Amino acid sequence: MRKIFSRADLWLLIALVIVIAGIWLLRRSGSGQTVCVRVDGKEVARLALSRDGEYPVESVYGRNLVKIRDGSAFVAETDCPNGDCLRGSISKSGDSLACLPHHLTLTVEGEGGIDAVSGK
Amino acid sequence: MSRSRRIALAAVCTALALLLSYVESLFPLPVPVPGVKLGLANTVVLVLLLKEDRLSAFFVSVVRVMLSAALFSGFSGFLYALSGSLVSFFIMLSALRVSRLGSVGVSVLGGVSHSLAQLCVAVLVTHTPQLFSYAGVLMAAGTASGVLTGLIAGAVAKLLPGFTGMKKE
Repeated sequence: MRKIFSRADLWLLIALVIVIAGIWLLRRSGSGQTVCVRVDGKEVARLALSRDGEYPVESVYGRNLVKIRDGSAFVAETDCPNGDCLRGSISKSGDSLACLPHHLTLTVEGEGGIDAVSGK
Repeated sequence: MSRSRRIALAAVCTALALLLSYVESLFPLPVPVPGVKLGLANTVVLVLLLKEDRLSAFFVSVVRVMLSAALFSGFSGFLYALSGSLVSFFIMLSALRVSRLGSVGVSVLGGVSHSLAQLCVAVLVTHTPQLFSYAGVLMAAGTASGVLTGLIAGAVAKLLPGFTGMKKE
């Protein structure tokens, strides 16, 4: 009968913790300046994080209401079936939030990180 | 084990997995990240794999996702759920074949691969590679839930000595 926890499991967990810590350290944590709203990977809006506001996003897939408050962006309303996108808000450069049924993504950009490197 | 008994067992396991994923969906984790969940349904698949009933484990992996989509979540989440479920099934199957990992390690590999497979589908569907910035968080979540489900599945598999899967009685 197979063990519940073996020496190999310990090594696997150590390796995973190192990889996750590496990813976490590499991720820049500078606060972003803009939120790029994409549908199907195409930019449909670019919003400043510094200004509070509400932005309805409509596409062939459905409707979302993106809100910006206190430097964070989040989805406040949606007509997608599961509503997963309502959980979570983003503010740091490189952070993403997605409403998968609507092919909608929000990505914080600006100040360091991948975008600065690629010059995008 | 007779053929009809085996079919009945696979059906009961599917129902249990479906029930676990439904119950889980009623209590979302207090984590501000979409897509992070416990993956309790995976314990059923893992117990079957540990009992060397690979066919039933595969059946549960696929049918649970199909029923869940038909009953609760609709088609939109189906591709994600199916890709995660299939990838984690094959990763766990291979891990059991080639490694000496215990049930916790196997389950962790399953959890992490489940998350990463869904992330890949998400990137493909939305055409937004920026979503890969989720990878670290999802891997951490997959590891944590993998440890939990691995402990449960390992304990359950030990407590079910008569449950011999494919072996003849």
